[in-house]
Amino acid sequence: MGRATAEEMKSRARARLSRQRLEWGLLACLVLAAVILMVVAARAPEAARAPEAALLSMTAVFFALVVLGLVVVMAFDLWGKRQADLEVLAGGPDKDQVQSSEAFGLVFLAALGLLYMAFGVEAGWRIASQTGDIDDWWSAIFSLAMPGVVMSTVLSDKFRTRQAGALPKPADELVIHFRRHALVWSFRATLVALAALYVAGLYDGRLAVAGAPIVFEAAALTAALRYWWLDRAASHG
Amino acid sequence: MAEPRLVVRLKEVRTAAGLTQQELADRARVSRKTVNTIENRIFTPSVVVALTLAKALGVPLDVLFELTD
Repeated sequence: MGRATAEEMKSRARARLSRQRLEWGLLACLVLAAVILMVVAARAPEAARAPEAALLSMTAVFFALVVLGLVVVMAFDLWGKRQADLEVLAGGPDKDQVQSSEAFGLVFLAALGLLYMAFGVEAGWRIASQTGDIDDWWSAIFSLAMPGVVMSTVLSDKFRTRQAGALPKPADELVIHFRRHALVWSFRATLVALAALYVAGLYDGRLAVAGAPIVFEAAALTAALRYWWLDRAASHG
Repeated sequence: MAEPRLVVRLKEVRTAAGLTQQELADRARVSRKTVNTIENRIFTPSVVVALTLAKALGVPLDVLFELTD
């Protein structure tokens, strides 16, 4: 690669970084709007005490959660692009750092999934008790989103490239090794959670439905934590 | 018959060549973590990665890895 090309790449990276500041600002505005909406919606039923107000506030909370979830996904994408541009400016990609940030990202997404899981369990209980409404159906289905994202990453044999617009590369052999171990642990956690859910379901059938998001979240969180732990162990020494 | 044991001499060969883990990783186009985990016996590489490391260090494969009884 010639000197001019490297300089050109650095100049493009600088331009992208300055454009990204605006995107970060827009994301921050979205988060602020979602939080305000959530706070207002949570207080509205207390003030109004009407069933319509409660339904409206639940819809608003659900909408705010969807926005927050999308913001997290977009923020990760933006963060990845920012890292890639910083690496270009620093003179080359640090593969170790990229792998570590992927591991941390998985744990963050899985931890965020706990929030969605809590809503999913609550909604699942109401649906199983025949008192659920359309928002409960959305909450119950949406609770599978974060475990879905985490598990699809762990199951993938591709390594998500941080270069803007570039195609995913085949994963590093060590990354595949980590993912395999994470999957084994995840499978064990799933079996334990399923066994507990089965017993709970024998006691009360509604528990089997309401507890299903816990099984998915347990699988995702275990996989993410195991992956992160292996990555951390590989970093030292 | 005893189980064969894998002897890994990557660290010895690398330090004898005066390379850091990062330098070897850059030469072999793998991550530093890959080199680290192989040296610490956490991870057993595929034939392709093993050959790549041997080539990067300029030694035959059986100098880096050996099966003993």
